[in-house]
Amino acid sequence: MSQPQFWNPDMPAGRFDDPEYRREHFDHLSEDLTHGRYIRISGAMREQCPVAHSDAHEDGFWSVSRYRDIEYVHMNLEEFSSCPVTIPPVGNPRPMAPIESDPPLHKGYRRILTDVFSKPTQKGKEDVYRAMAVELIEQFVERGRCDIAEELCIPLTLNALMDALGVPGPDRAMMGNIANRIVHRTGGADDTVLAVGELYAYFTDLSEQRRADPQDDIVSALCTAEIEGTPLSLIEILDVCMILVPAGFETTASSMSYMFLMLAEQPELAQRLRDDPSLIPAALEEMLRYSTPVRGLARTVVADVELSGQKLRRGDRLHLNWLAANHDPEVFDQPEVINIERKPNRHMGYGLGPHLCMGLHMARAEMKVAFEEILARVDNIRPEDVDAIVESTGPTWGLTHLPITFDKR
Amino acid sequence: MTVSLKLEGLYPEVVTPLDGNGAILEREFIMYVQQLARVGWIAGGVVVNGTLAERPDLTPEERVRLVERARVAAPADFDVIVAVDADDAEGAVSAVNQAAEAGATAALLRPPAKTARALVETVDAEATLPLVIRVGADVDAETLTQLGGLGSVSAICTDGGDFAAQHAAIGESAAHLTAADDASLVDHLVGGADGALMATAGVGTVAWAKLLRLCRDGEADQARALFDGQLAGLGPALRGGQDAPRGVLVKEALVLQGLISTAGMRGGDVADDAQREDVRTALVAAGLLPG
Repeated sequence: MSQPQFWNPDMPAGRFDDPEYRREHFDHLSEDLTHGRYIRISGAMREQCPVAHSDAHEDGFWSVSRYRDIEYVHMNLEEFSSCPVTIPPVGNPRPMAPIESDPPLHKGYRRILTDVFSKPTQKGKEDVYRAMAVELIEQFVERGRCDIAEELCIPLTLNALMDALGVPGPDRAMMGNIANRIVHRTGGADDTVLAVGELYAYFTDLSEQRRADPQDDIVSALCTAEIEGTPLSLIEILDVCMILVPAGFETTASSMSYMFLMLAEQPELAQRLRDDPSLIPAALEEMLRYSTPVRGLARTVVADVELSGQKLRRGDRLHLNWLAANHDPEVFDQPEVINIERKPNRHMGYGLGPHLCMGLHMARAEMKVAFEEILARVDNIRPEDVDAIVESTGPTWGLTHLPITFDKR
Repeated sequence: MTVSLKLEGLYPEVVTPLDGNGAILEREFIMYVQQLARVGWIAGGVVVNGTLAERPDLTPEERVRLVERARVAAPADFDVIVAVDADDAEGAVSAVNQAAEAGATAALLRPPAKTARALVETVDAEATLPLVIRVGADVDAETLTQLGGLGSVSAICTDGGDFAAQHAAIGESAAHLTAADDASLVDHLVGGADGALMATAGVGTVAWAKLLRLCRDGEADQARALFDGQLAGLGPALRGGQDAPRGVLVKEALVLQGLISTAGMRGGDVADDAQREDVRTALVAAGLLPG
């Protein structure tokens, strides 16, 4: 397979093309790193300075870009705290459970959500997700064009998550807006803090309703859950919701948007998947490896340690560059090529280790049915206007606008 | 028995989060300690079971449990100092050894000045943990010298009095910590203090840590400016005058910052509206809450 055009590695990256500048000022949120630049620049970091100190974002941080180093950090919860999980921090006052929780709390919080997000449970939800996807696709399929990010990726994943949480239909668009303000900081840093407050206020009300009248949803499950015999407090419930809303739909929507762009740029890949839909799950994994919408997460050093020869001190902040890791040639042969037969494909698109994304089976199920239903209904998918594609940066990168054209089958 | 420990940095005295029925919220306690541990190398550890933590109202089992929880919450090189009653030597030895079994790394005693030397000598001989001795302004130089010379006394924390004279009396025999949270704090840190026990440090630890870092870097003027500009109001606001019970206003501040969920205390004490507003104002001034 060829390299997708959107990720053209030769696009200039301005000041980040200067090795000295990027070593000292690397910024994983910079809009100067859109398209293929991020892959190229972080690849250069991996080769030249795999553990480099950047002065971006308040007190600075260490950018870690080798797969093996990142793997080590992910596997050692005792040496590296998961809180705060982003650089800069989102602004939540307490750790977001479970993603920002450390031992001994981490397992207890994850256990509460294990059943909801398990593979069997999510397999059983495929028909629900499929019905949602079909309903959305039928609204635009006759047109021969759509903004697939706005008309399928975002509403499908938002609906699926809100359904799981128990958020009523009329409130879902509002929650989507809140999540965007938190994840993409669309209203600026101060507005992000306000959005977090609005999210807490909303789920305070919803959890009160669910305590009084439990339903078959996540908020009800949280209201009745216990860890070591102790129920979750209100703030614990809110903290879990705080991470589920942005992480539970926005990451999947972003992943899906990049994948649809890849299909639009590589008609031979689209045709291969159309001819043999059983290849779709492996293709999704490979496209996720390639695009890595969650560019990486952060850790805090809790015990002095050395990483690739660099001494790190307690309190130091690390940004783990998952995208760089997913293109590390020491682990992935010809990483710049999309190879849907890649085995093994132990990518970090969902993270790694004890904090591996809990919602990966949900994401996989949603993406699988969306691709199956699109490919079954349309041919000749292609970008309508590459200049109209909008790529948003943030803890999760993604395409918030992706106009495509297609032929209805 | 001689056991020692190098004490250096900030040692926030932590509160005990309680629910509406007075039960300890263990998970909140763990998160709270972990938040403090993440501040960085400059936070040396925490003090648990202090008066701020409502020690008189905790059962012996709860005190042990809090030490255990703090231990599992914190990294290995993060000290868990347990405050114990120092009314009599026998009780203190028992409490210190129990804390040692629970995983504490040091014990904090605050003996009365008149009996300090005799009591600490007994504990020093029989206890299995390094000791931090907190003394008031009324302790004399000779006693400080003698206390510092005891094998298990790793640090002496002075609370008031002539810091320079105290520092000279302690010499190199033990670390010297300060309990000051007023303008003299910077003078103490620049003047040789190894660190600080802080009743307010659970509130705004990052800001206090910056202050300590500036002092370590010899930037006394910047440290004073930071204190005057942001932190000066915190101590008085969190003490709240003579009428406010120890801990209640610190809990209010932690709730306002979203670090714990309720400000309830076992004795039923709560802040009044005026005190709560003072706390909020001090937090805003310190940059810990939006204005």
